[in-house]
Amino acid sequence: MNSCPIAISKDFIAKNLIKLSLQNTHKINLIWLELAGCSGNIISLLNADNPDINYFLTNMISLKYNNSLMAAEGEKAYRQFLETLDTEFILVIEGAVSTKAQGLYDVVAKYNGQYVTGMEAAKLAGERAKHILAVGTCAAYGGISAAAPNPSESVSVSAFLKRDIINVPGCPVHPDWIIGTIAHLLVFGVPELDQKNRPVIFYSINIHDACPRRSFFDQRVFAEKLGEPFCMFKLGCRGPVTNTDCPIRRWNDTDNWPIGDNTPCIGCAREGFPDLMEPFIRY
Amino acid sequence: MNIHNNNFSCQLSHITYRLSYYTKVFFSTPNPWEKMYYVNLISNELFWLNSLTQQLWEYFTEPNNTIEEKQFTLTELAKYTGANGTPAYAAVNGIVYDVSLEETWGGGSHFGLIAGKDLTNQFKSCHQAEAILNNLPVVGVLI
Ligand code: HEM
Ligand code: SF4
Repeated sequence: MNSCPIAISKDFIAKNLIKLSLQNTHKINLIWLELAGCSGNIISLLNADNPDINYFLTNMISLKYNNSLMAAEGEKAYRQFLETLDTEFILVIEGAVSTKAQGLYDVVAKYNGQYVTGMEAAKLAGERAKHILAVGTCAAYGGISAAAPNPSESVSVSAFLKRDIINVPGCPVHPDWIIGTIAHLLVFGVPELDQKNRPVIFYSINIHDACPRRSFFDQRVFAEKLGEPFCMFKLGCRGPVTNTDCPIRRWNDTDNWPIGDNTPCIGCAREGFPDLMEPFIRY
Repeated sequence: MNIHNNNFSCQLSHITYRLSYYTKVFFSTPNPWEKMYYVNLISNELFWLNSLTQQLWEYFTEPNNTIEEKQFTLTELAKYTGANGTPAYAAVNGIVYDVSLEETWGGGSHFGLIAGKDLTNQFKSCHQAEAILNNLPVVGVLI
């Protein structure tokens, strides 16, 4: 008979962890607000796997408002947004805050005959939310929406709201990074953040350090054109200046990622993308 | 031996060319025998490289033998942008640095800047510490 208590409990570790994480949690309300962006992050979320979007929506959160996924339309949808403000909720913002002309470059609803700008909605919800996630590079740093010459005068969520915000950059963001961060909020509270307020669990790895082509870089074996299976540094790879766990997590259910698919990293999750990461490819 | 002699640099560039070719084939072939063959060729080249270094050493240990600093005009510097297989050079405070293998300078570009230029002002506006330049190889001076 095996009497070691660790050996016996070993078989149940995963199960116990799941139990532990589900106990003491209740489904929290969530508002997913899209501002000046491209909906890329909500679409990316739909591609989640283990846990997938169904698990996320049914067991983890109660999604109260999102322009892409909700059934309600128009004023009815916006009323749902307003009602949620009086409850405890997590606010997820994707897209930058467009500030030109009092925010009129980005209108998210029409309510009682008045335009509701993204700026107003972000302010309303931002003041009351329990936690705020700036999801995607535009929300976290301004990104493409704030790229030069920035006609809509877009700024990042943290520049606009001036309160503690968790930045989850990426263009788009990886579904695991969103669900993982929200799971951490539910079970353990705010995850450990780095100086740029990104969760350390997902953003502490330098792509160049974990890249499967790193040995080619060290041996100075460089691709001279796209498609060659060597290090793409000479083509302008931004892996060395970008921190995400893409090389090990990968995308589309752990299959694809840029360097694995023979295109250089363009630094999409880095501050300064896209202006400072250009040119994306150089011969 | 005269190291300004064209023959010397010619030999050197042939060796580096062959080395980079052999390394590339070494990594692309799955065949272990072929790999051993190329390792052999690489060690041959290393032998020749070694003898060239020996000659250089002898040359520099002689008194009165010095090498002139390479001088760049802005037009000359503009050839080294990192594109088309050229090295990537950038000048700061009159000194030309080689950023070809600096990890933050992928493809000869660095946070919106392109190599092949005098980037003194840009450098000063972004980097306080001049110390990061000490790790870069110097290739010459700007005139
Ligand atoms: C000739 C001009 C420049 C040279 C030679 C240069 C050189 C370097 C070097 C060697 C590093 C790596 C430092 C290290 O890891 O210790 C670096 C990093 C960096 N440089 Fe420059 N730089 C230049 C201009 C600029 C300019 C104009 C900018 C701003 C647009 C800039 C922004 C940065 C940033 C943000 C990093 C940090 C990268 C990171 O996050 O890891 N540099 N630079
Ligand atoms: S492909 Fe990019 S990230 Fe990978 S080793 Fe080369 S420079 Fe680094």
